[in-house]
Amino acid sequence: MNRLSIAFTRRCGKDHRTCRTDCTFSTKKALIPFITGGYPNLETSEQLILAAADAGANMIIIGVPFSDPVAESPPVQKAEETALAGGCNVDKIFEITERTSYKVQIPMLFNVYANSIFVYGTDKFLEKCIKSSIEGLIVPDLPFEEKAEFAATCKKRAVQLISTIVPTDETRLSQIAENADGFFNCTVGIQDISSLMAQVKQIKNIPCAMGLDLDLDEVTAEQIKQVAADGIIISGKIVELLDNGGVSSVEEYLQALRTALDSVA
Amino acid sequence: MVGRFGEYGGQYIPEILMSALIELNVAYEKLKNDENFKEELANLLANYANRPSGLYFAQKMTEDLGGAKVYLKREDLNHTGSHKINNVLGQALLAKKMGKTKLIAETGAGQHGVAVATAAALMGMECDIFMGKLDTERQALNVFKMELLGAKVTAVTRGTMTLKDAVNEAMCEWVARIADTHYVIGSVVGPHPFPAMVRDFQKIIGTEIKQQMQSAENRLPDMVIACVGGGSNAMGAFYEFIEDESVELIGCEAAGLGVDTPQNAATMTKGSPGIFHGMKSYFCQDEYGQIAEVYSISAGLDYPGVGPEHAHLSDINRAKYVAITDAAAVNAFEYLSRTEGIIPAIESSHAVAYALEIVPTLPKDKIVVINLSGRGDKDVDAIAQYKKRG
Repeated sequence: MNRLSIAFTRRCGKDHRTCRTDCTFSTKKALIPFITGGYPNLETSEQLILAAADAGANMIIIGVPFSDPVAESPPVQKAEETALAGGCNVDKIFEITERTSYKVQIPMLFNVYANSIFVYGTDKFLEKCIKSSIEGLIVPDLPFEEKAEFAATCKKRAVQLISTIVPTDETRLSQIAENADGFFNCTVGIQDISSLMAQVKQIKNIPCAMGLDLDLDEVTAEQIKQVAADGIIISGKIVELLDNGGVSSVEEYLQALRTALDSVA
Repeated sequence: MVGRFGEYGGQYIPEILMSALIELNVAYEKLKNDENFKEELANLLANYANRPSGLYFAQKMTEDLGGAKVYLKREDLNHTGSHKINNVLGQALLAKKMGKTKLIAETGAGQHGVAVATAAALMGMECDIFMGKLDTERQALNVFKMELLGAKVTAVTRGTMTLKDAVNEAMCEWVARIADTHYVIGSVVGPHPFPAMVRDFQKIIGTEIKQQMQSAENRLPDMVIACVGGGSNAMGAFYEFIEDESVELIGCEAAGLGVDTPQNAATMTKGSPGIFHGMKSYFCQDEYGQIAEVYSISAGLDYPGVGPEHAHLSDINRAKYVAITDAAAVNAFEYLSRTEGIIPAIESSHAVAYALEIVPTLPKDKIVVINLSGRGDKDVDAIAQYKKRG
């Protein structure tokens, strides 16, 4: 178990770094907001990180905008486009995360495309991650075959390179799972998550997170209970809420979802 | 490492596509040496696509330029009007053998899209083509052709609305339809096995050049010139000659309005190493790795990257890459039309333009081959407008 695995358990009011044993066996589901850096602007992203942490997020994924974010959902793609048009870049995101790292106790991760790391300079990028307490990287265009591109540098800096899994053959799943750290980022439909989890957890018992833009008006506690994942990543929904009601409406949504998740645990 | 050309290449794509790539790679490795597959493809290339394409001695051009002898490899005479059909027939046949019933593809100028729509019609497969909205406007005739052939053309409205975005859209579409669909990438780009596979299907160009040159001149050429967007016609023309070090290999990329302006697509000249569209290669990008908007008069060269094998050939100095402006390409387009009665594609005109520059400086006993990758009917309207603008 490392910090990211542990973060899946609900904060208990204490700094989670000092209460590992209390939390480790919790069965509650983790709330993981995905915040597109620089959308609609950098100030809002900074406020949103703090608000999400206050609302009870277990960890925060910050999307580093890329010109061609092929793996993201349409709302996130549009948000990344807007962020770039507004002048957002990796250095400006590092400025935000460096500041928020002093105020936020939960882990922060980047969702960042391979080219953003490679062109910045892998060493320099990871060094900056450490400075601003970025503890993990999800690289959407880095499958198992290419992990070596960043794995050694990540290891050196103790930044987790998160493995993405999708339903596939057993051999491949085993290969990926054996080499995974922190948690599994599952790209999977809601009907397939349980069987996928059962398969990978046999190989490595770390938490499984999945993207799920829950609409709280339509979802019942019973339905949430049926979501087998250990953690839920909210992404497109956050863009939608930001567009319609700003930071406060995202915060309200996250608080409500926190309550809903806790009530079914 | 698998699928690498030096440090370039690889498989930098979302995990969700990996199963399809692995399946494709296994099928291709098995079929590429299968006698039945090879025979079926050879038969299609000969009787359907009209191969071998001619190697034509351009006598008037040679006399006019007063230097090396010029030969034109006539890929423009292939069925569908360009080299694209070589690769498409190979991939469509492969897809059929894999049990796929649908083909999807991206297209820039529309040449690749037309070729895929053609192969789909021939093989009775469903076909969806993704094309940047700007390109559908620039190449309206090709859109109509694809529809005539029974394909559905989707205009991509996101991003820069050009080739790069068409690739993004086709990749996303593939994710949703992997079970019954093959994605026919049109150039030597993308994740492994595409760069090597597309090159294998295109290397017939160079193989034929070598044989035809042997018959005509009983020797190797001294220089092979080809245009480079993603680089499939160039890779096809070059591959046979890589070991023949006396043969100079020249790739001509699009300088657009000039390499000192932002309006160019000169990946090798102005770009830098990066990771995009599944491969490590050279890309036009900013200091943060954001892929640049590129520009060329040619919708087929208007791509911010280049095939990884080209990146490698450039790094090891085996091939040289030069940048040709719109103006030089248009001049070459008109020159070849008037001098030889051959209207070249605006893409291929970039290769002709470099020949116009270099041939007069070479001695008469040298031989230069220009790969005339496509015909220019599709470009006549755009060139007329370009001339009108002055």
